[in-house]
Amino acid sequence: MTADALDATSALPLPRRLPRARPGTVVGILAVVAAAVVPVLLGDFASFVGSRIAVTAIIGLSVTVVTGYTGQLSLMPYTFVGIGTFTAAHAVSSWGWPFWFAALLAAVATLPLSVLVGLVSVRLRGFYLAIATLTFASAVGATLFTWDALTGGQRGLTVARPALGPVPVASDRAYYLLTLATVLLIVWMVLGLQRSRIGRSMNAVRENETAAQALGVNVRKTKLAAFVISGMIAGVGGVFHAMLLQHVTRTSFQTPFVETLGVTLVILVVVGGMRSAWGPFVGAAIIYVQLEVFRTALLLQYVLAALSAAAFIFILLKVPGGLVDIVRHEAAAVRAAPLRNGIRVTVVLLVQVAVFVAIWRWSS
Amino acid sequence: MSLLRTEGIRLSFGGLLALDDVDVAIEAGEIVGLLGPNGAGKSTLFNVLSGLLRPDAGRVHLGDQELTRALPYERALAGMGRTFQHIKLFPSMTVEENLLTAQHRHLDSSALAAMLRLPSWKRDEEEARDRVEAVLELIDLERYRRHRPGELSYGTLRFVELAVALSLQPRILLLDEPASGIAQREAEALGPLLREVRDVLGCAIFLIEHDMPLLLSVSERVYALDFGRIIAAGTPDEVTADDRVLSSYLGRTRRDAVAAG
Repeated sequence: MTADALDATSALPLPRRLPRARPGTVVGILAVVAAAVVPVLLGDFASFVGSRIAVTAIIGLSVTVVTGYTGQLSLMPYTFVGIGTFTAAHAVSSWGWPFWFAALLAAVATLPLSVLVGLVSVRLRGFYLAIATLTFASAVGATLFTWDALTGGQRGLTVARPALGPVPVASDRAYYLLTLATVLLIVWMVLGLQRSRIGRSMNAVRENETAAQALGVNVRKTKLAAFVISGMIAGVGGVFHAMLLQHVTRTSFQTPFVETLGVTLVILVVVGGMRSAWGPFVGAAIIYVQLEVFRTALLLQYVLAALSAAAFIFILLKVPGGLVDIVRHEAAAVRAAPLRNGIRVTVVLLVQVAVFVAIWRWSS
Repeated sequence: MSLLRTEGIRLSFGGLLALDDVDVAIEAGEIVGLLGPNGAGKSTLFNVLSGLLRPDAGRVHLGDQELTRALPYERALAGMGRTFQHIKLFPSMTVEENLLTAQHRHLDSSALAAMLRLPSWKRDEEEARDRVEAVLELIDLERYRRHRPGELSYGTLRFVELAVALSLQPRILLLDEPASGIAQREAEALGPLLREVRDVLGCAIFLIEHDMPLLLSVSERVYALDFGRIIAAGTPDEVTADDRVLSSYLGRTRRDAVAAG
């Protein structure tokens, strides 16, 4: 009788599904093509910066899943990056594994720690969890990463960039295209996750654990899944991090750098937009482009740094959805009044690019 | 055998006995009311049923499963849906997404399947959307599909919350004051709607409500709770005629009427 009751709704007439309009698709494709072409045309250095943005975006996506979606503040992403980095370094350089297998191994290697932290997250909330993750980061840095056989001791490890079958990706330009393709793949995967029962459970756990449970969501399992998926993404990020720099040392994954990098990454993801899979990419792009433009600007550097800090605070206060929300908002405005808002947005963008180029030219 | 049964539920907070030897039994497809003055233990009983509180003694059964020690999410998976006295919806999600979240128990594709857009994920999503659509239509909320809770009136949110609980496709639905804080017109529509929900979905409904006309008109049976004890049970007419119910709950108005007259 109860089985019949459960099936009762399927007998209801099913409404027609409305087709989803995707007006942003064309703009999105153009943006991806531009992201692929522009740094490559600009040269090796721009491609290196581009790779750094892409790698940071991959690592940032681990924050999106665990903090943005699930609401668990973890400040130890770089510990998982370290595990991925050193695993990949050994797999590729010492054992001669093909690149993608090394990436897979790096992802799996994060599992023991991510499961452990995930179990801890079931017991701790908010600030307490954040502090626990800092402690974990520090502890792993002081134990696992002081193991010379793993990290290569003081000298660190050298990692060659891979060849994908017959195609070498040793050059900065080729490596950039590989990392860009990878970050887009992971964004696509995280978007899929968001539109699934697990992604919805993550959002539900973040917003109201009691209500989530009342709807059949296993809060523990969901948090655990978030830490595991997040750890694996960070592990893959570690592989690309190692091959970007081609030489890695343990210092970056030990106190105080591991914590600083972790906090910086969370800020970057929040500025980009932590509820969106595109947030880390946008946040990383803005911050690293600024960093490169301002790097040689000497005194002006401090003024500009202060200005962009103020801009970030403004974003956090006024637009909790981050830069991604601003982009969405402007896109909606352009769609509503293509001519007027289109011109306005184009002018603002051109002025910003012009200011950046001017500072960069003037200072270098 | 009854769908939902409790045996000797007892729960005390410190020295206060909140629930004292409570036995209730609800048949499949039945609409049952729970009445009692403030502080009688009605919401406490719902929290024991849905697993937010663990009783000191007694048992909870749903169908042939014993759920006394089951966690809240396990009870939801077993087919127990509930709403809260204070609305609990997910504010960042649209109405449709809120309902989709409740589809959890009918979906089983893995995270990897979703990340790689495998057919099992696509099938799951399509079926979930179809079922959500059917519930939105039943509660007449289709036009609010893309709205977020913050954009809707309190009265509408009560109906959204009902729809979310129904999206779970429960065997039994626990409703904690569904008419509180909503307009008279909406409250009047609620009774027929609950009957329709029961007729279409076949789920039993256990209902706490302070709106007496609504409670008495929609319920087929009523339990009266006072100081944590069931003091009367039966049809609405029987329970409202019971002396103890009159003195504990309805009596005050009669006394007031006498005093005033």
